[in-house]
Amino acid sequence: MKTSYVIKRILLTVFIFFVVVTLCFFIPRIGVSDPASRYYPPQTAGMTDEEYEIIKEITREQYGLDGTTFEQYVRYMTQLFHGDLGTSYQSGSPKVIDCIAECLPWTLVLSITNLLISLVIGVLIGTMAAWKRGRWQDRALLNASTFTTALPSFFIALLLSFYLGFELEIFPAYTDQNMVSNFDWSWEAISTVMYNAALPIFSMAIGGIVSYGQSTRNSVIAVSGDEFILTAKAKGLSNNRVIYGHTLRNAMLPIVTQFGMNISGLIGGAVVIEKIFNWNGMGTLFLTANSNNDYPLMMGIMIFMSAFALVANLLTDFVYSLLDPRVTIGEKR
Amino acid sequence: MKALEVKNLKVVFPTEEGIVRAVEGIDIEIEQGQCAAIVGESGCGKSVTSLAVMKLLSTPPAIVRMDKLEMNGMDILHLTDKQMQQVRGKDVSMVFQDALTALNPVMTVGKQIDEIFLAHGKLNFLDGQEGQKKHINVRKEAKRRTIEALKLVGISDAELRYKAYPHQLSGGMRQRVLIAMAFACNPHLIIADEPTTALDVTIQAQVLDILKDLQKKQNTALMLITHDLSIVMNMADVIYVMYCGKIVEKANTRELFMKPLHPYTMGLLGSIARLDDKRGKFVQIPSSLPSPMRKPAGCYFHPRCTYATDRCRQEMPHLEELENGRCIRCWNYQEIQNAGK
Repeated sequence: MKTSYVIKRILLTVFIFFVVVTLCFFIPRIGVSDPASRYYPPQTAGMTDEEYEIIKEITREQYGLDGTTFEQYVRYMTQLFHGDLGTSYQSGSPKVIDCIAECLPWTLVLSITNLLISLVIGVLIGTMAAWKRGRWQDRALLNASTFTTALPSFFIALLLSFYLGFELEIFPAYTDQNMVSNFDWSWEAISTVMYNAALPIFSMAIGGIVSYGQSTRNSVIAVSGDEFILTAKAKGLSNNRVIYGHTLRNAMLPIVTQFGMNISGLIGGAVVIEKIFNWNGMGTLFLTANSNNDYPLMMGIMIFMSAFALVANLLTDFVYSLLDPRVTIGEKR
Repeated sequence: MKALEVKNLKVVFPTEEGIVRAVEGIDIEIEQGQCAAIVGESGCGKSVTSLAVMKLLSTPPAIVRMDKLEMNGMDILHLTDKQMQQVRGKDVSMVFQDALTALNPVMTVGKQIDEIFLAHGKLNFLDGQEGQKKHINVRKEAKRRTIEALKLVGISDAELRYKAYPHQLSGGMRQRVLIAMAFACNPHLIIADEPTTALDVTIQAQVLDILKDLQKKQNTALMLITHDLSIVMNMADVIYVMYCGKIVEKANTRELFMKPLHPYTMGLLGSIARLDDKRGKFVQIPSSLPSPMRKPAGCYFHPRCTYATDRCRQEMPHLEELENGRCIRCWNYQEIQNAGK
């Protein structure tokens, strides 16, 4: 890996980031004639139209919606360069960064746990299915994958929330809102979070486990047929050494790519699931911001998500080139 | 004591379209320090034979049967998988055809040779001091021996190459690494499956020289599997000619080249280019190998044989033993010889 390539790659990432920010800025404003309209106070009796216009103007200035869209854009970008994401339109005018900081950990609790569970269990199941190729373990995985590809995770979430939540009352179907406000790092508070998070995590992890399982299985089977596995056996290595030292090491390469792609979705991947279980994370925050035309908050969340995704992609590429010595990215052959 | 003795080896692959009889009862004997070549066209069952001897064919799908499999007087046939792991790499090892695919792409070549010593090397004993435990760093010792092995096959800068990945080496260098691997534990027998087919002709000669040199130096028996009779000439002591899963002729190298008996062998020899050739063109064997699922009745070679008679079309000839260990599977070899004179 060449330093010049790394720098080029980082610069490209920064460029993409600004394109994304620009698009995020203009797209929600397309077709909205006056986004500030919902925040105007009502025109009281005896107030002339001129006076009301002045009030409107003041309101627009308050919300940063005065001037043309392009002027707003320049203002926003200047602000962004100074590291300021602005103020939300919510009552109390909280800082956007504070809103995000409040919700982000709750989303990460769900998504990171989900990703780790999916990865670990999926790889284990996939390896076993490849080992027992054609036997019932393998067929079970194949059937499960047909099932979960056809059923989106939000549908699984609805089923789980209905049967395990409302009917059997094993897990809460709806997140306890006191969980967030009462959280104090005590063992009790942590276990409450785990209890509440069980269904959302489970409904996402089913698909994840099966997807990692299926790709691991295919990858392991493909690698098992490679000739260097025969070489390893001909060297008289033990079965374990052949599987862990040679087969899995090579079979994991596509899994790393999949993992990297999933990491980039850590923040924004659970919007619908969060809504179903009323989980106070980034997804719920984004939906609220969206329905309130809360531009600064929407922008802030999208900027955060895209920056995270871009950095994750960048890191995946770099990690991959460390794992596979054949990948010499950016070097011309 | 023979380095390898195989009796009546049969390998069958049941497939959906029918049963493939890849190897149909062949006997192979290799003396210690001897080089025996198995020669035949692609698809004649050579590679399957080598894998069956290593007990590396996955069963299922393959069905492997043999009456006897001995290496250096040791019965291999009845060993368990665990015991077999101890034999592979230590008593018998393999050189594969394409070193690029035969080496693990994400592991340095040094580490790949280390593994053999770590599995078989008895590294916690210094040479000749068995029983006396002297603690040495096992990994360091493996590395030391690996570098030695790399030097043995003529790899310069062995310390540097130790850390190289397979794709960073040239084709010839990779093949040398495979040879170093095969010779690592001084096995009694090495099976080389088309060891030079993937290489340029100039590199081929170098690699064969190293292989021959090491074989002589370490008195290892070598089973050389190839479709190329020209490389066999300088390497092999004995040649088995294989056709459609059967041995059709076995002879000392000199005798085979001087006086081939089987029409198939004659055809193979006729397709070698020679400097002293006055024929002006190659004698080629017409048509191609029959499908292993629809082998012809009688002698398998008869559809391609210019000397075929009615008997050849009906009856499979048996492997007739002649003087000097020579064997021939042909009804008419005497007539053919006489006609040629």
